[in-house]
Amino acid sequence: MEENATETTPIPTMSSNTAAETILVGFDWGTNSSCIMASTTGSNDLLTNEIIPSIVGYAKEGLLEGILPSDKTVLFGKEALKYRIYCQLQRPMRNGVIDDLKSASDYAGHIKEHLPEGREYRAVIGVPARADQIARENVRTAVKGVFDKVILIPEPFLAALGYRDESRLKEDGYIDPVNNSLFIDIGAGSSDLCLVQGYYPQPDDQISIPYAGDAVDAELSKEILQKYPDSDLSIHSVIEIKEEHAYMGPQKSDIIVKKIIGGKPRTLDIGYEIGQSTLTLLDLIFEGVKQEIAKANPDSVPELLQNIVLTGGGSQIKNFAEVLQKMLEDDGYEQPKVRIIGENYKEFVAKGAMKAARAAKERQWQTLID
Amino acid sequence: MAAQTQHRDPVEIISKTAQTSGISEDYWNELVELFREACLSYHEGHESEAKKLAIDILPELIRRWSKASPENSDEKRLRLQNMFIEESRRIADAGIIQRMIVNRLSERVLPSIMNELKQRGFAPTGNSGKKLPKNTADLLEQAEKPPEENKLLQKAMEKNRAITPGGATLSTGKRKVPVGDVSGMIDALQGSEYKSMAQQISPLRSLFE
Ligand SMILES: Nc1ncnc2c1ncn2[C@@H]1O[C@H](COP(=O)(O)OP(=O)(O)OP(=O)(O)O)[C@@H](O)[C@H]1O
Ligand SMILES: [Mg+2]
Repeated sequence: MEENATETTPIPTMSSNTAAETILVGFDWGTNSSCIMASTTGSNDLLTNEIIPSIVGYAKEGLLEGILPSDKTVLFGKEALKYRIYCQLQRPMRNGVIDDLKSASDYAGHIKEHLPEGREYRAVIGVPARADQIARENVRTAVKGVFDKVILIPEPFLAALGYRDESRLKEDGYIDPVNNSLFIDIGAGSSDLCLVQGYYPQPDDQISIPYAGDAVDAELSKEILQKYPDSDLSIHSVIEIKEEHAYMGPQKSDIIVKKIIGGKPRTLDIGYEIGQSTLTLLDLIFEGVKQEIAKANPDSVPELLQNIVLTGGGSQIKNFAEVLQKMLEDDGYEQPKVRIIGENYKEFVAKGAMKAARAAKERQWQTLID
Repeated sequence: MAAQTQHRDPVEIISKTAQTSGISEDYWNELVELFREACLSYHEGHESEAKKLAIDILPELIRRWSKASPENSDEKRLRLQNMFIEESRRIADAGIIQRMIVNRLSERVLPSIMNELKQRGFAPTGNSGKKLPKNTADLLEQAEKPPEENKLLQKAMEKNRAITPGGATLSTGKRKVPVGDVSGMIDALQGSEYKSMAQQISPLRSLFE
């Protein structure tokens, strides 16, 4: 230790828990994919900003050497997906909460490899608003040994925080998105609607519908199989098709998809089927939106209708915003405006988590102990 | 596990300073044991067992002790409350909370219980001049009646059942926190989380209500 005294490395003292090398982490742990950001305490620069599919692959037994990169026995994220035929794939999360603690811990350990060197790691982690105490305890257990201190915050809070651009608050014409908005987060396992009217949403302001991307996948699989009974597409192929072509609104008859089926290339003409697969989602979201609007103070509704925001992977379904807006209009709502948060939808929760990490007080960090 | 005889807590010190006669002390010990058992039963999911102990037997033991004890009634009330708090905490120490990994959880949860009690005027701060609220007096009075008339405890038990362990979601509770107040939001979240844990670790806490 003594030789360090002459170097620039700060010497830890009793009072300084927050030395420069403390790493702040914002972690949006999604069912489908996760976003991780990190910086040092003193700086606004992100040293890490990555999106990693929330999946772990355990190498199948008896694999020959050289098949998996560095003959790893556990693969993560994109790599796990790439080598999926040699792996047992395991998703740590289901419906937004940890479903498999072992792979969750492994995944969390992998996350750490993406973080800069640090002496202490403090993470703000998003959890679904409906996560109960057990779900939260599972998160804490899974990240033990990875982060030293954590704060868990509901995802809608972080999304609101992340979406807000504080630097523009004084700007004329900048509409503070958290003043009066309805956020609709369509993920893999659930669609979460949340009214934000200046305050952090309370349980009554939120609805969670257990129907989202995964359900659309199942729907699409079924539809394709109905039209092409001999097509035996893997769920990954179905998801690929969905992510490229899913749409809402008037039927498209010109979607031709090429897939290898039974070793032979096949063309599937599935415009109608893809359209069918998103109908239930649309209906459910529409109902949810109406319910949320009904909860808002009537005086706030005209402005609220201007700020309906779609986010999450499901928001990428083509024409979603337009079609939902039209449905609201036809239902008699006055000039509703629905928009999508954008392609970087995946970042907002982690961004909010970073803001929270910077604002957290020393006493608010919860130490993870055994 | 820390030995149960480690007295570092003001609550415990207060309860131990009370001078009592031998026989009432025996009754007291029985009473404490029964309360502890009721708490444990509740935690292990044996609700009806806990209810039986708390409703059928506990009041009787309180009554017996209360009659035998030379303490004045304010002292008795204080001692009873302190015991409830201390025992609730013992349950926490005994394992339920060990799995919880928050920073010195029991030290945070307990103040939450204490605070609540304080707000209701139950502060076990040694502030003996202060009159205890009516509810505690009611409890003791009730306990001095035969068990079947003991409505208060019945009510307390019913309330307890409404607490679903593990069911609490993360929220700011009743507080409305402006989006700009990030650390206020974290406080509100943690406050309501600790409070709900506090409710869980002191299952018979509505005895105070
Ligand atoms: N372009 C796209 N079109 C349609 N769906 C898409 C598109 N891109 C992603 N998705 C779907 O969005 C879902 C994932 O969304 P997101 O990443 O927001 O979920 P998550 O945060 O991981 O899950 P959750 O919020 O349920 O925990 C998946 O079902 C994915 O297939
Ligand atoms: Mg999500």
